[in-house]
Amino acid sequence: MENQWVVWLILLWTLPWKGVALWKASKNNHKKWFVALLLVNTMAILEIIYIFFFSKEKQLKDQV
Amino acid sequence: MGIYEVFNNISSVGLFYFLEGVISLVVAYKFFKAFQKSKNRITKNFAFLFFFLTITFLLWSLPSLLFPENNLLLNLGSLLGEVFIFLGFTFGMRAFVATRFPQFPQNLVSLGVILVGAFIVSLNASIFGSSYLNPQGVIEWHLHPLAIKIYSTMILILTIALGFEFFRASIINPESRIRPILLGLGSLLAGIGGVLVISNIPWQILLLGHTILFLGIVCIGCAVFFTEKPSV
Repeated sequence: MENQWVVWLILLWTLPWKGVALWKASKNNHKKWFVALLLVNTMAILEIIYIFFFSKEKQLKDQV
Repeated sequence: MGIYEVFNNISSVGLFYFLEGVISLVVAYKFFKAFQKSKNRITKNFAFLFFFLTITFLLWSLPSLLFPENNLLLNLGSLLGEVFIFLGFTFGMRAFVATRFPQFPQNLVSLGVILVGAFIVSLNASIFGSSYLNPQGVIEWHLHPLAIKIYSTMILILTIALGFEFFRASIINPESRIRPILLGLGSLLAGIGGVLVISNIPWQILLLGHTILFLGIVCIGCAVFFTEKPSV
């Protein structure tokens, strides 16, 4: 890869999302989600979906 | 710089993307409103599809409109836009599977789209810096050749499947057929245009692709605003 700094840029984009997603997965006790989010790098696509959709479902279930 | 020069130097493709973004935002809003009334999950998936398409189109348009000289922003917008378009596709495919194959696990389909999307974004990140705005105001993305093949296949699968599903709906329910026909036509046009705009082809054909894509989005926008008059 010619532009090595792109890797840093991708990390800068991915890591905050991954951090928040892992935090929420651990709080919600979503073990399978936690492992998947930890191991798979999807350029934050999976993380965004988990944070905004699947982690909220769990919170809503808890409220009911 | 006079106002004439500003408009003369404006990127036509950037303008197309910007207008597509605005139309997608309105479509997403209408779908969200419909979802609040109906609580239909398929409607919600469509709302998210268009919401993420809005972000994508704006990320692709704003750098070329506001900073046409800045190639770095254009390339960053390209990559980030791809992340959001695959987020949108995830919901688009869910909507299609929920309609046509309700017994099929939607989460599995979503996971497939996410993994393929991440692979495509990674491929394009590996050749970061290849996109540029040409002197004619057309954005030449110059994506990774393998990414173009997979990307095109995904776009065609989604748009053709949705297009035919809408056409089928127009046949099943002849009383309200104009809206699904417009949605079907819009979906197919957006698919053909979408494939053309990401291909490595001469800029004249790229511009044709952008026009077709724009027409497709306009058709979808018209469909959302179209209200069928009750037959007497």
